[in-house]
Amino acid sequence: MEAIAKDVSVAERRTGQPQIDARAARRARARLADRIVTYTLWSIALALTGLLIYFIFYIIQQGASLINWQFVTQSNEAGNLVGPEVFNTFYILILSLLICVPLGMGCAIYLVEYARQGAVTTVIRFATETLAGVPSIILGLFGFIFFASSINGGLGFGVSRLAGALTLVILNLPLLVRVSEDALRSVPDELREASAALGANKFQTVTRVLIPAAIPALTTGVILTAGKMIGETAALLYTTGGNSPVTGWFSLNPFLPGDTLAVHLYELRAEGIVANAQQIANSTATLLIILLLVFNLGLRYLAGLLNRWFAGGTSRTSRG
Amino acid sequence: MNLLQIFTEIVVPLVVITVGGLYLLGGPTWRQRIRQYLTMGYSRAELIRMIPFALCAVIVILALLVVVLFVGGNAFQTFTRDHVSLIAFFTGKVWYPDNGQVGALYLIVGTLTVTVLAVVISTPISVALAVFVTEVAPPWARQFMQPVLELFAGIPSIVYGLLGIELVVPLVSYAYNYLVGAFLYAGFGVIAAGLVLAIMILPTITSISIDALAALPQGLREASLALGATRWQTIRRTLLPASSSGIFTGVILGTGRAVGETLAVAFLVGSNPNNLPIQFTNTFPYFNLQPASTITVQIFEDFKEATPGSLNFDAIWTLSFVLLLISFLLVAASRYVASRGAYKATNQRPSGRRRSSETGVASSTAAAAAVTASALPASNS
Repeated sequence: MEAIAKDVSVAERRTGQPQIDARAARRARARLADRIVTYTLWSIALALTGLLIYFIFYIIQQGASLINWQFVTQSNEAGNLVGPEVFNTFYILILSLLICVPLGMGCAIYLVEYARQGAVTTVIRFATETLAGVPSIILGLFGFIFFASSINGGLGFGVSRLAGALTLVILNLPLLVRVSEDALRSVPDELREASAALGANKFQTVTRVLIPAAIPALTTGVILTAGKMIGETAALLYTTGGNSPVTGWFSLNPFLPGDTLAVHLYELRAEGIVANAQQIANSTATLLIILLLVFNLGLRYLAGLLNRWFAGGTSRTSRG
Repeated sequence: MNLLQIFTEIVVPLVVITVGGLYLLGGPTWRQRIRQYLTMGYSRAELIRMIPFALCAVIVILALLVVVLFVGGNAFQTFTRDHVSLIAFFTGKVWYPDNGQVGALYLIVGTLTVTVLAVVISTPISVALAVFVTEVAPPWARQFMQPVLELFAGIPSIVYGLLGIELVVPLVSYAYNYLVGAFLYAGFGVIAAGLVLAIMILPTITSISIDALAALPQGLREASLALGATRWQTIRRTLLPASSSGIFTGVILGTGRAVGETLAVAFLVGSNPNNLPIQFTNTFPYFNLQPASTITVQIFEDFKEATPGSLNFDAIWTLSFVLLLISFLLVAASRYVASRGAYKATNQRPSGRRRSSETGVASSTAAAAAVTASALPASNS
């Protein structure tokens, strides 16, 4: 009604005669505004896309020259190869995912399938949301005092890969709980009902029906989380340490210190301890961006393909 | 008495005494109620099989508690052991811990300036982008924008810092020096940090705004269009007001991200804790930009040198606790705002589950951690 009322101009109210021209002009103006806004929105979206592409190409073009097989797999005394950092990045990533994914999934199963909605779920949701809001630098300090050091009741793992991985677990647990919840909710109720109708108890339904059915939808979330973990720096600098041993880094010992690519990049830019630190930093950034692209675009595409292949469309994305 | 003691010596015993007392003295009805509450109506065998899942949930809660207790437990030694007064800490302008001076005022001002700048720049762009994705974009563009947002969210903050040093800082320096007409400013400061932060919080605000707009019933759009409104009139007068609480939630959570961001800011802000970010003067151009610092940056930079037990170490934990409190407040505010919205981004499956009325708040707020899988709901297409 308001839109029509506003179509009546001051002149119309004064004269009591419909001013056809004025109305038409107003409508034309509204259409013009609509078109201008549409173009503006398109150009904002285009500009941001352009900015992203520019960022990515800038980083890659700055650091691509140094990257070769030796650079990403070897280490040397001079510190201008990043083999240990690449290894540590994946080591810490896999270690923390191994802890984090079952924990997040278990919590989500409890929330979605078991818990009665009310005080308990509110507390858990509040905890995950609050934890998600804690800045990563604080979790870094916490990881240092709780996992790495043994003063004040810390666990005393030392500044090590394990301490870093556990800190990453705390940092990403809320996200994984959320992602797993979504994945479980995307499983149709019919599967639960069919399983119950076959005489399965709740535990059997969860382990044999719901978890397999949720895995396709979970994959996307886990890959996104992994992408976040790779780039994390503030939480890791004080928990995994700023450098790796020159020799003996290629081991699965979780108590070794070991910096990831992102931490290494910080060390190179901030401390610049090695010769041509700037150049190596640029190449490290390039590696990080390539990993990001691989995880966000490549692996997700692959995961989507596998989903369609195996599950025949239970994932969120193919729901339509 | 620190938080850990308060918790173990007051809160836990109180809960145990209350629940236990009711169980023992309250008679069969209370016993029944408590048992009913604890078992949730599941059989004993089912309860035992449930333990692993419940344990995971307990670990999540414990994680938060331990973080709060460890940060909180270390936070008060600045005041108890080092005898810095609360007022001196929050109003002091000199941050020189080795000299016994821990005034955090300029750090707080720095954090505020950077955050406000980032949010003010980012909000209009984010909302515009969200409107574009939900209202204007054809399906192919919508699908194209999802990876764009995810990549923006996925670029590590350290790489943003690098980009800021190489692209934004020279720009700011050039602009200011061009304005002044002389080379006075190298570009490191709140403007550069705020600009880069604006890009970093853009995916957060955008994805939550998209959720909010997508949650609006289609009938709102149809009703407005049927009244003869153009698309822009529909957006401005109907859709944006109707989704305002969701958009505001996104802005609050974006604020939280900006307050807590460390590395990008550490590269760009100049790391001088004893400067105001902007100083006003009497001569043209009436303001000086100077390298400043923020709470996160100072925590990050000082923790390297601080030895446990020193004033510097204690002051860092106090700063951390302040930051933790700010992030709590922001999360609580976002929950409150989200709970007031008329149309909630529930993120439910279209067919809905038995317990369907619960996720309203959770779905949009947790998304702040990153652009989650739900950034662009496929159900909207």
